[in-house]
Amino acid sequence: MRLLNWAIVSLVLASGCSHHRTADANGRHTVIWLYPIDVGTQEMTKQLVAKFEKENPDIHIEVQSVPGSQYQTKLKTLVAAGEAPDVFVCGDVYLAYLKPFLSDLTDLATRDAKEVNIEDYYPAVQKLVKRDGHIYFLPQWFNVSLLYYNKKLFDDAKEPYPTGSWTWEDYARTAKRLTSKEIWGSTVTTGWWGEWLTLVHGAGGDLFNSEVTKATLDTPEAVKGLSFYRDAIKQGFAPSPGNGPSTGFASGKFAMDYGGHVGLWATYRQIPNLDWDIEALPKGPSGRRGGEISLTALGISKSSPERESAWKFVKFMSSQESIRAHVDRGYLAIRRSVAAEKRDKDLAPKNRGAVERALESAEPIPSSKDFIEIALDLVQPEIDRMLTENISPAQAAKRASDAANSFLRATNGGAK
Amino acid sequence: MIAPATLGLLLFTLGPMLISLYLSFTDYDVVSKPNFVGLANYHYLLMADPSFWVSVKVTAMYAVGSVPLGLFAALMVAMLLNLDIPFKGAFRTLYYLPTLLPATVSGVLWAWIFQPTDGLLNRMLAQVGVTGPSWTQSPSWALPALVIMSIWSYGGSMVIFLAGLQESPKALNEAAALDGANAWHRFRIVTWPALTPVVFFNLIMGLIGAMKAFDQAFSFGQSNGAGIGGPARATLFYVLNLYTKAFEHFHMGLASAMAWILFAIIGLITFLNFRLSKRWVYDEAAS
Repeated sequence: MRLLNWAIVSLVLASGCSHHRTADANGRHTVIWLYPIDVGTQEMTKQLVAKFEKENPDIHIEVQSVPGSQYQTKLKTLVAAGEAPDVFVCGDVYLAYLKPFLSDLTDLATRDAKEVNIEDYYPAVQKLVKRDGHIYFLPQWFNVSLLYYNKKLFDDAKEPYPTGSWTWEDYARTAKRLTSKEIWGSTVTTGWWGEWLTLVHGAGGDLFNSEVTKATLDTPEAVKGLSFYRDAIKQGFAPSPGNGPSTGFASGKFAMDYGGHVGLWATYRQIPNLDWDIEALPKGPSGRRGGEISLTALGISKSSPERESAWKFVKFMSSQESIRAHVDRGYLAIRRSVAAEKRDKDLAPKNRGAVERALESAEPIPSSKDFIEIALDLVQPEIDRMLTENISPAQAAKRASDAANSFLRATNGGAK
Repeated sequence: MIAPATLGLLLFTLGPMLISLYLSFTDYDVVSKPNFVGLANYHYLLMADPSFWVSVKVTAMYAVGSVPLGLFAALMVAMLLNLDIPFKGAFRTLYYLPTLLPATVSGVLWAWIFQPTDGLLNRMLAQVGVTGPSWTQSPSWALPALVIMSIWSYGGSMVIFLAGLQESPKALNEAAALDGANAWHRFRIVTWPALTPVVFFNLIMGLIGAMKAFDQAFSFGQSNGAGIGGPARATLFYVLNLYTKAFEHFHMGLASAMAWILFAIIGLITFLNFRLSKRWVYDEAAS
């Protein structure tokens, strides 16, 4: 009897761990896609999946929805349990961490080169897709740091709109002039690295050395970038954290938004009286704009029993058809051919040349699995303190670098 | 009869505890095999981690602020609800209701109340000419905001106090009243000593709850844009720090070590509380 029990338990465990997946009753191969729930794209996603299944009757896409904030936790837990989904979101930001679990798609991308058409992506995107000569994912859309401006507030103040040749000085001077009792010249992005890291780059500094083995936020260049960031508040053209309208640039009370996210385009477009446009970020003293580029992409699990079917789906999600659907939902076209169609030409922002200018100098975040943890958990608290307490940029930079270096030393020494 | 309970204890409590003790000496990251790293995790936490001692301090300050205030509020409301007033049952239900709200829901609600520019509290303060602080974004005010928020959920302690008050010796109270003792004297000399075991129970439970506080700070940070534990780690409770290490960054070794340190801290504080209780908790059997 005891032996029988053990046999049952073993069978159950073995079936749970199996990598073999049989076709369903209709003879279809099931591809599991772990999808981060997004109200803005849910309907589009449903339609794209339906379209794909219609075109590929032998494949069924099982969409497993997870709230966006729990996505990484769910994904890693599934990977650890040996039940990794076939397809999952894995932009360049998480690539360093996810690489051990991602299937190298270079062979498939080479085989289907014409269909994949990597050359159709913007050159900056191509570089990220083939970061170390290998292809681990195909992207759907991207974010690039831009300067957003409220045209009405500029017109009211008879200020000329920002241009691609603006420097930090032009930006700060204009922001100061535009600041009045009700209006702020610009925003300050808090809570993540979006703005401060851009400014550190613009000043010629960086968060890490090129090998990502040492934090370098305490160099004079980096401190200069942090000082410019803090001075927006000190000089009175940007509100301190928590002050100013809680809806930010969308409130219509900010003349500019430094380094805003393209994911907000759809929201801005829905605000009736918000007349806005974009420009590439101003150049810092180093000549770099310092803005970030990041991709949202789909990759395939290394252990997927349905690699070929999953690849078909990933290709479809990066095809012109899918990118068009993304553009219609307010996202930036990642394929140049779709961008040239100007499907959203009647919608803001009109100054689309700014995207190309921004892309020419956009910088990816460091390819390190520790980047997010260091930037958010170790550096960000010191940046917060610099903005809200009487701590100088040099002090904040020193404390942040010390914390990051201590972490790097400890993790190299075994702590984890 | 006790076999299933023992099996449950071994499988679901003792087993995971021992595994977490083992993991605290490894570099386990969920996706690869754990390697033994000796005391490296404990050394990093105690000697180098910039967030460990901050989260200990934040949790201690929260406990010191929220537990006495919460107990005081619970006792006051319990005493009011112990009076012979109309609709007593309805009032008791109403005052208990906030406790039933999930902490994440009340976290979102309170994040709106504390919102610096458009929030309810600062708007009310502005009506009386006071400029409210930047509750959610200021490292100095974020924790007091959470302490204020915690007082709202005193329902559990209130019910226990109410039960304690109803057990308070009526005959002694009446005798004291006949002897001319006023309400304060009756409370101090008769009610309070009888209530001290209940106060002690609520204190212990409140302290343990405060040291394990998590969800209110988690939802508060997420709702107000300051980030989890933000701003500037001002709301980084110990368990929130542990969670971030475990489930955001998958440092299961560090997180397990933190769990065992917390276990030791709670054990020590509870032991000290029991030792000190002999000085102020009334023990009917002993007297």
